[in-house]
Amino acid sequence: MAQRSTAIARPILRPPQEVAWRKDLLGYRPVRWLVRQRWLQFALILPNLFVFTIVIMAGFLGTPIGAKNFAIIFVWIVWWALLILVLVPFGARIWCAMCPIPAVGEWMQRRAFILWKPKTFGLARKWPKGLRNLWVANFGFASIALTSAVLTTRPIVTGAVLLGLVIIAAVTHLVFERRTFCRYLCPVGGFLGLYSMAAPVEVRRVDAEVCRQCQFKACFRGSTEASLRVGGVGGYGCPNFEFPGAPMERNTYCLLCTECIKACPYENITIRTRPFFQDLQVEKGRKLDEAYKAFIMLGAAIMYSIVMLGPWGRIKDWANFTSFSGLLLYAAIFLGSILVAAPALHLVFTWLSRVFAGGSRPDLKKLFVDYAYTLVPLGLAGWIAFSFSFVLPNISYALSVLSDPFGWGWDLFGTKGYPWTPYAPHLLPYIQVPTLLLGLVLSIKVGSRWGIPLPGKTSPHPPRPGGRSSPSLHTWQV
Amino acid sequence: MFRHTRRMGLRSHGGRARFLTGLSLVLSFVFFLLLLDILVVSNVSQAAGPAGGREREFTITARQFAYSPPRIRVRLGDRVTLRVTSEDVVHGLYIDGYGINAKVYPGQETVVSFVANRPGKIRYRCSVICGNLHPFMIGEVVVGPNYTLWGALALTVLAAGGTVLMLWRRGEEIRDRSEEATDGTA
Repeated sequence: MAQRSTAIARPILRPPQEVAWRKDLLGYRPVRWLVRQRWLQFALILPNLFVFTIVIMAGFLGTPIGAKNFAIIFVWIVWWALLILVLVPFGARIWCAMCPIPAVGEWMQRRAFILWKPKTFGLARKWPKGLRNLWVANFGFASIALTSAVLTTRPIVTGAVLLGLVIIAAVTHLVFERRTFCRYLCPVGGFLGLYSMAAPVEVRRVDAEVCRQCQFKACFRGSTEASLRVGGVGGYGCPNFEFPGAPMERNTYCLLCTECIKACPYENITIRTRPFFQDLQVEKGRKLDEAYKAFIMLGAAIMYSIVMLGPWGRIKDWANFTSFSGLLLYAAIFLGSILVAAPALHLVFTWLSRVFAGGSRPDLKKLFVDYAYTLVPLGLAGWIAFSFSFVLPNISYALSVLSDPFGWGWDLFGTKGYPWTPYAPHLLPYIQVPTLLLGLVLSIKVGSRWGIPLPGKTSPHPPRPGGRSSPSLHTWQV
Repeated sequence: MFRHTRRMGLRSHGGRARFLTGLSLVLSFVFFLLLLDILVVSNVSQAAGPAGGREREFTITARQFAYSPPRIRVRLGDRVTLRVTSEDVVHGLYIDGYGINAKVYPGQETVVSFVANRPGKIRYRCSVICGNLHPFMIGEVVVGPNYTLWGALALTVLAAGGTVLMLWRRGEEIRDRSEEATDGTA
């Protein structure tokens, strides 16, 4: 009660002027009602868990022919297309809110499917400080990427890897606090976070002053009885260790689970629309592990285009693990390209940028990290372009496996016999080239935000970091 | 205002207008490319029919999960004949954009023929499920002169140069305004 008396009670929220024109999605009553329902996330996860269960079963029990197996077609074509073409560019990490992989662990940890309970189950240990970054996820993704020719085409491997992730997530939830798995281990979460900076939606606080005066910090700590007396519907502290009231300035680690919205007693957290790639302007929070994620993703998109979409059978044999020596060579080339060559080239151009910048030269490491974020639009465009090239020719398999998910001869919806129909494969260049060009232009634009001072002009305004270095950066981007 | 909005990670109304302008430019560009495809390429195909091109014949071997040779080169207007045999299982041959789809049996020659009337890269792919990497079993016919590739490269340079120039000019304006403001204060 003492807390209640000192807390500010139901203040009038004043959003900053700059965001007044944006759409506050919680301003729509049905959306606001929906987001504040505790069952929302459960309702999002449940259908995905159903599909996921079929995927695992099809992986282990279904036909080994990938193109006839639900696990392969629905994970690597349907889900992937939805993720990279729609969910990430437009919905940030909305997939994380409905992902079935951590669901089992989280339900055990919370001892509830839907309800908010103040006490959790498990050891609730803290993740080691030295590993509180994306390095584990980066190497996890690189390992998975290395095996992708096998993983994405052999149902049993897909089933085993997904089941393995569920088990690792469950154990992590029981040993460590919150969603440690999603934050530090999930190989998918890392790149979702990177590219979610592009999305035109964000979860953010409304009125900074209210957060400053708030004594509960329920968005981070979770609801308490005291906070609930003021407001909120009962929510857990941010499962991904973010502190929306602090404020949270980027989408990178926001899972859009809406727990903070449910927990905030002042209804001071909302979901807003915004321009694309807004987070790339935020300097705070940029780190080397995230920068490396940008190299890995861009490098992997290029390598996949060569390996999977190229005509060279020998490289496909290496990637398909047909010989040990081939696998070793492929691992060296693939990992060398994404973990060493791409960052090394980036370093060279960053160093050149620094040389050309002249004047008060910015720190090389900072510039290296900062410039890596300019590759985000290009990387996302690269993945979208790459995805079109295998989704459009192969998406028709989805209708067939929908009726016969295990390849056992079923015909559940009468579409089993739907023939393979590649959609507009000859138009792919006309989709891919504009996509890549858009990515390039956006990357250049992001890079240019560091400023391009006029050569030869003396000015009382010193060049911003990057400065004259920008042309060098743009050469690298091209 | 500009600096302030940037610090806040936000944009003003102008941002939305610029975004819409950019979007309309991109859509116009896509439309232009499609129009180019319809007008130029279809005209080329009419002009360079079988009579105008050479007869080119290639023997291609299909195996899991590639065609050999992986890439063949022809000239625009050539009549291309592919004699394909499989050395392991049943494969297929689907030529993107031509509607040709044939099965290729082991030890049996399948012959397909088409006029290479589209410049650039024509992909053909396996249309019979032949193993785990089947969706990625792809071969290429490069039709020269490769206007598509050179056009894409030119567009890349133009887009990059144009963007840099536009941003440079904008930066110049902002800087000039900033200098004027400083001079005025002094």
